[in-house]
Amino acid sequence: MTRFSGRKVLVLEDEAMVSLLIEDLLLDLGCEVLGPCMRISEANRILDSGATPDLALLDVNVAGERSFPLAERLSRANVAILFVTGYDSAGMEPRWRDHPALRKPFTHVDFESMVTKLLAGGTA
Amino acid sequence: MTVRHFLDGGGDVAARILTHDWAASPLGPIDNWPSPLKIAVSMLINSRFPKCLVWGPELTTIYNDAFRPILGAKPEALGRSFRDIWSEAWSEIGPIAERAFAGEATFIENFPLTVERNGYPEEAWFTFCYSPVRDESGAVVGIIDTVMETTQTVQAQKNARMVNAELAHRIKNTLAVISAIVNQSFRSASSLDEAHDTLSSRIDALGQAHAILTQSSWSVAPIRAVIEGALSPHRNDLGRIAIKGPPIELSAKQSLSLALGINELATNAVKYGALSVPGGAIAIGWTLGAPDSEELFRLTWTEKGGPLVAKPKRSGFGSRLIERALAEAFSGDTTVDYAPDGVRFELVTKMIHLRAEEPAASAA
Repeated sequence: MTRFSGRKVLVLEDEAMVSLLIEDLLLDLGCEVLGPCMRISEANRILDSGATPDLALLDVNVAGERSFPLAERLSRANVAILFVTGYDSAGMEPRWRDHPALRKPFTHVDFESMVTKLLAGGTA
Repeated sequence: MTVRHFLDGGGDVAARILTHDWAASPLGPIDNWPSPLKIAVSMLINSRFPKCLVWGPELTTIYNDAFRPILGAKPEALGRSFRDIWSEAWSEIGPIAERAFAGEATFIENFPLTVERNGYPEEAWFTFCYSPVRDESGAVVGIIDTVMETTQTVQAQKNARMVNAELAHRIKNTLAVISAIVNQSFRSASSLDEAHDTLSSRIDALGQAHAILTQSSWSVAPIRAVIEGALSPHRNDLGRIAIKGPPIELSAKQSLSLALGINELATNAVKYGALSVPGGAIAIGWTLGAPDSEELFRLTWTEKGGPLVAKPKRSGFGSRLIERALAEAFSGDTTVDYAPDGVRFELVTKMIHLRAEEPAASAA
């Protein structure tokens, strides 16, 4: 499947196994993967270098650090955001509580449908 | 000398009661004490439950031996006002004592109080009953405070709730990892049988590392145990694998990543490397620098005596796992060298990164 060929997706995920999975699922969809970043600073560096992702998949707790400030930055740059997290909504900041989130562990079907929706111009 | 048999069996505090100067207290000389007071004291000091008798409008206090630990390093409480002894908590317990003097008994479980008994304010919890003591006429002349300190229990419960929340989060993460492993094992396999074998050896390696970590309540694991556990799916070949290095402990994440990495290397060795032919052998070794220093920790996997090695055409999940997961967990560098005479893998990081557990999430 290459329906999203050329679309850039930033991936922030510190669990290497899960990042490998996300990466493969995105490649299957034809996306170009920025990262996967294991640290928030790494994601910021990619953005600093001028990269313009269409979508960002963000783990919430990355090596003990919260990714909400990065989400703010991406949101200001009009990048669609999908949280991928083991936390339920209680673990989210109120600002992001109703934002699209994929709960770990997730199914491929859910992953594909959420990514598809967001890349096809769903709510950012 | 008057015999004071009502103090019989009263332990250490009985001796202190006997020598205390009661004449100077609101209770007056001990031999003039009314019968209800003597009987109440006798019942009190013969109890092995922590108890305290609070007598008369001056709230004069007599405690039993079991009550002593609750007082900590407070000044001698015998004969003093209960209000003064617990002045730091009186705004909370005063009204309860008042109700008992009004004839109403109270039972409260795990009541939090900030007490000062060891020179600093500390949070403590108590399960207690204030009950009125009446004389023959029915007038409330004192109260008995029966109390169990439950600080340790309450703290253990709090701790258990925290551990539980952390565990729930960890299980979710583990399931996500398993789901990733299942997915990757199937997509890169050429047959169902191969997928089955790869999957079960990966989950087995993960399971072994979990078992080792469980022994240390999920904090650290000895490196040798992690490596041996990861090799256990290949136990038939253990005689050809030499493991050598000084003892060192790894964090939970490092242990799990190393277990998966070693399992991938071993699986590759069985399929294409040193373990695919008789006579091949593997040496696993590591060296340490000074603890918590910038000096290097270096782990190597060296295959010898196998068939001629060729670099694989595409980078499989196994090698990506080795490179990415291990580099990440150890904050170091990994290299897999497909040297013609045998695969060589190296993991290098600074000693300060060993066991460096990432801080737990602040909210769960």
